[in-house]
Amino acid sequence: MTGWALGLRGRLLLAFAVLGLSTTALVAGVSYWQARTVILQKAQDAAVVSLVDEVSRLAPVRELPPSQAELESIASAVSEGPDPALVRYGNLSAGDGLAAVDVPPQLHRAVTEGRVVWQRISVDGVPVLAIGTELMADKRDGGTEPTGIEIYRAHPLAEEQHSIDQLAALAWSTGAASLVLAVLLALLAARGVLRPVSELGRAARRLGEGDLQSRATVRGGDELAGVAQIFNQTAERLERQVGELRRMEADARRFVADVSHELRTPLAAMTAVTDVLDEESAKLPGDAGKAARLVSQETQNLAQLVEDLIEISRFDAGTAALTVDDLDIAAAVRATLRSRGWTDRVSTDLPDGVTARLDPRRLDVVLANMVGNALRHGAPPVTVELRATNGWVVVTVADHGPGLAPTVLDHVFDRFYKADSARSRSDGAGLGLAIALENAKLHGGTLVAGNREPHGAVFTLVLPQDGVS
Amino acid sequence: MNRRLLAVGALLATLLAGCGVRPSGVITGGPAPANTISGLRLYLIADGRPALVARGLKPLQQPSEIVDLLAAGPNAAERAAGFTSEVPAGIAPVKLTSEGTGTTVALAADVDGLSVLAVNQIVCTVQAMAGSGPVTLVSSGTRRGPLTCPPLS
Repeated sequence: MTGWALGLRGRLLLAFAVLGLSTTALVAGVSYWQARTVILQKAQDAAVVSLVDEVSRLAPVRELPPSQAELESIASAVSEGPDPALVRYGNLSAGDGLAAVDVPPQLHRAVTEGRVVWQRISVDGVPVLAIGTELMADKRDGGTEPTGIEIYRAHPLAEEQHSIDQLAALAWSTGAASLVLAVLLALLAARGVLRPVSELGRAARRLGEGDLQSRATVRGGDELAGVAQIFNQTAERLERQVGELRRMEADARRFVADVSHELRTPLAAMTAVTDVLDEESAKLPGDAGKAARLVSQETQNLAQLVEDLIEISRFDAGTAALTVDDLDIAAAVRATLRSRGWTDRVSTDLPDGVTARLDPRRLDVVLANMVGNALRHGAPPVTVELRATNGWVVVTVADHGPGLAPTVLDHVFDRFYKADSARSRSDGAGLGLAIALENAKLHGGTLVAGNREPHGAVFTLVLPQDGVS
Repeated sequence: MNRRLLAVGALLATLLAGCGVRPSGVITGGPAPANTISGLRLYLIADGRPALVARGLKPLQQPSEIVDLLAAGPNAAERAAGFTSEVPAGIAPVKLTSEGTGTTVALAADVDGLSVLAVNQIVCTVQAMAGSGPVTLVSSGTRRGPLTCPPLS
């Protein structure tokens, strides 16, 4: 459908041009044709009347058959100015400027029927009116009878052709002017229609790009204004609903943050109590000792969970702040391993001299999470590698366990996601990797999970060397 | 799309055909103009039909001489132009008498021996000179008429 690919403006232009042209062609054509007919008719009638007039004023015919001299005198009486004449009688002919061969045979045949006849012919490209008549003789009873003398006269129509050509030129220039006018009008109309359409398009694009406050301008009361109104109503409803959803989500997050904060104080007290219990549990006999140790362990887990929740809430609220420092990454990794007591369980490849501007506390959290996960869920040997490329620091933690199942891989950074539902409760709530990823993002870096050949999970932390840009 | 092109082409062709001054067919107008004949009118035969000739002679002494002129036949110029006459020389002398509106022509030869063309020649010639009344031809005992000249074409 190439016709439809023309666009609104093109179609309007075409329609206006066709309308303007056809109207002008019709009007100009009809009036041109009419004027041409009138001009020709008048010229022809005048020429015929003048010939008839002159023929009836000829001197009376003395002899029939006429002598050559008589024919010539008739011819010279009838020829007038630029109009040459020819007089024929049987085989005789006389004339100046008009030869017998110039008379069309059908005109010659028609002349013998006793009426004045004429015909437009073209002589060397010039239109000529050939008029012919037979000279009649008056009878005593008032009638006429043919004498056999035929009189022809040629009347050039060059002047009339000139007038008609001028008419045609006028018609053509009228057509051209009307085409220009039609195109101008079409452009004007197209602008009137297209401007609201393109404004509506812009508003829709802004809305699609996420600007929920995007509105179209409603002008007038036509169909386009109706569309703009509907668009505005839709956008308004969408904005309201999205706003409500956001508010609800924010409420939920604030609730979590508030709860976590409220739990912190009693938990601190409980932790203090369980510290005492821990010391005493060794002295408690049997089940009482076990219960005391369980309470102590779970209290620690709960405290960790609350800390994690508070950390996540800070990320969600956008209040997590970076405290950057120039760090030697190899030293930072070693410190993390040392403080957790993992130095013996992990093989490292840590080239010295790799530095970056990072938050040391957050880097420690991320590294501890990556290595801790590898030790807990993977199989030894666990390796930690440090590399620096093109302004990025890359830390890779790999294990030789079964690796991550594809379904796990998609959700490994989700909150409260546990790959194995039967996993021991002591392993944590499932917020560790989520917090690690948020920390990496806060630095302007990423954390990616994957598998490697032949088996084993790989976590790759990529951080910018020169701090957050 | 093709049909639209054809329509536009046909429209253009019509417009162009109407342009300028084009040759036409034969247009027929009013009756041919007439003039008077100053000479004597005679009717001779051309192409098997009576046809008008005129002779620039001095006026006749006797009206009947006009029929004598017919009997004498075409002169040299008329013969050269293809005219003939069927009126026999033996009909002279002739007498013309007026009877009311009509004219009676008394011939020396037998009227029944004249061809139709010869009769028409005489009737037309006499009517052209004496008026449009009917003409009766008589000879010893026989008569033809009253007759009128058939319209010449």
